[in-house]
Amino acid sequence: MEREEDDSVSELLRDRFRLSTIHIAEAEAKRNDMEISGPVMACIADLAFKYTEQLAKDLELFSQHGGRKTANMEDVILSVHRNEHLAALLRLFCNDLKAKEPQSERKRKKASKKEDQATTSVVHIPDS
Amino acid sequence: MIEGADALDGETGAGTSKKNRPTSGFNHIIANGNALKLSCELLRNFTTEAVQRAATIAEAEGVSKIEPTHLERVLPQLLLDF
Repeated sequence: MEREEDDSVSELLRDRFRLSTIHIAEAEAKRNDMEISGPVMACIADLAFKYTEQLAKDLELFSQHGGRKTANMEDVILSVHRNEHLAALLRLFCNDLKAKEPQSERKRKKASKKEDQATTSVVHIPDS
Repeated sequence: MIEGADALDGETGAGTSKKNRPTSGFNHIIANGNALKLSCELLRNFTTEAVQRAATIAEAEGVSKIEPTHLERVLPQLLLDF
C-alpha cells in the first residue's frame, strides 16, 4: 500500500520535473531564436532526471562521509569539482544565497524558522 | 555559524521524517534549503547548456530547428562536462 503511494508520488514528482525542464529548454531555445523538436526536449528532460538521481546519490554519500545528516551547499559544489568553470559558477551563486541571508541574531531566527518550514514541506511531500 | 544552524534544522527534519515513515527503505538524509536551490541552479545550467550546444550545431548546419541528431553530436562532451 505504502509502496504504491510512494510510486505514484514519485511519478508525479518526475512529471513535474520533466515539465519544468521542458519549460527551461523551450525558453532557452527561444532566446537563441531556435525551434526545438519534441524528442529533443523529452531527451533533455530524461537526461536531467537521471543526472538528478546521480546527484542525489552523490550528495547522500558526501554528507554521510562528512558525518552529517543534511547535505549542504559545499556538498553540491564538491559534486561538480571536476569542472572548474561550473564550480566557480556555483560558488558565485552560493555566495549570493549566503549574502541574502543576513547573519544577525534576530534575522537568523527568522531564517531558520523559514528553513524549518521548507524542510517540513520537503518532508511532507512523500506523505501527501 | 549559519551552517551550524542549518545542520540543526536538518536534524530535526530528519527526525520527523523518521517518525513519519519508520518502515520505508528511504535514507533519511535531506538537503537544506540552500543546497536545494544550488542543485536547482546546477540542473538549470545543465539544461540550458544542452540546448545551447545543440543550437550551435544546428546553426552551423544552417537550420533553425534543433533535431535529435544535433543533440547526439554534443551529448558525449556534455556528459563529460557534467
